[in-house]
Amino acid sequence: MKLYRILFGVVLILGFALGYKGFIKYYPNLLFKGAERKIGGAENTIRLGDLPDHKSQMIVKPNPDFMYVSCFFNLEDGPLNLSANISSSNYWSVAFYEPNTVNFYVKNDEQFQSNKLNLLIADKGKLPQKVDKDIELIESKTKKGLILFRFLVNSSDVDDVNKIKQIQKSIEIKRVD
Amino acid sequence: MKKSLIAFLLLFAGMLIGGFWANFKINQVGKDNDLILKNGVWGYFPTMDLATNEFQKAYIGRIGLLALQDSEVIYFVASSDQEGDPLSSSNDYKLTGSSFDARYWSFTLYGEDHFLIPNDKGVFSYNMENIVYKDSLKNSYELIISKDPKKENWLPAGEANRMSVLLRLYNPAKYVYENKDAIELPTLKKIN
Repeated sequence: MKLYRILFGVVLILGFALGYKGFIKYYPNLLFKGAERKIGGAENTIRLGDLPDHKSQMIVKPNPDFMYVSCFFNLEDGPLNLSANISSSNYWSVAFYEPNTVNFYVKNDEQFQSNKLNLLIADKGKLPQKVDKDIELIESKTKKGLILFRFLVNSSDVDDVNKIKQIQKSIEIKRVD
Repeated sequence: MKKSLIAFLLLFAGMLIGGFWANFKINQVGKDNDLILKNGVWGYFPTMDLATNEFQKAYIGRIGLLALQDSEVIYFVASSDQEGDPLSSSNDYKLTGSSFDARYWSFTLYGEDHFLIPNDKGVFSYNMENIVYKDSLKNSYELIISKDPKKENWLPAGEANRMSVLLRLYNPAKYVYENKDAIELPTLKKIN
């Protein structure tokens, strides 16, 4: 009987450890899934965002100075090509996230050599052997993830807002055959 | 059979308790651990390398999902005033500071739920471009956080029981990265 009590105690502690570690490890994935559900839209589809305000309840801590563009990607059917023509002197950046919320790539306008954004995202170990020299290759550790553009905008300047909206429309994502 | 059932139930109970404890510990970040370092009223993470710190990743997910890595931006957050009292819209605060050596910087006010605080003016933040400076060199400034309208640099506090101010420094100078604990950050004083 005493042996069983010890075993039961061990099982309880084991359960505690599993619950604790599991929660810490997978909680970010749950939050990411929640964000995906709230933002909506199909995978590998560009979603244009407006200027955040108090009604923007999709992602915590939105920056009201930024207009966002998001795309939940899925590389199961092959690499994706992300392209855009971004002629803006304002700050902008493009960031890639794993489903565990880790930001594994970020690059801003000053780090790109040209207004023409041309990225190829592939699953780990599946980068194409040959690509045009103006294409930047990005290897993703995970098949799924998020692409997030941030465009700094002067929210009180309608022309600036409209200009960024036009630029956002140039963003495209398509599968590479 | 009965003992197997007990073992299963204990395992399940243990997992539940472990999950609740992890959730509790995440809520305690900033209160009783050294995950967040301080510079005045401003808290910051020594690193934003979330790939190597699962606990920090879980916490950041809760308060700032989809944060960027250090190479792009440094975040400082203040949720209490100079006296150590939590920020609340039942008080007014004066944030006094000077410009930062960064490509873009801003102050944004958030409610307890980490979302923007509703207000009639639709003002949620000030940045290096739209803040009104006190001097012609565009260096020093004062922001007033209050639920009541102010003449300029007014960050409306709405009806927030608890608030926090997030300072974002995009592409800061190298010395800022190296001196997060020592660079001059704004003071945040209760004024009534």
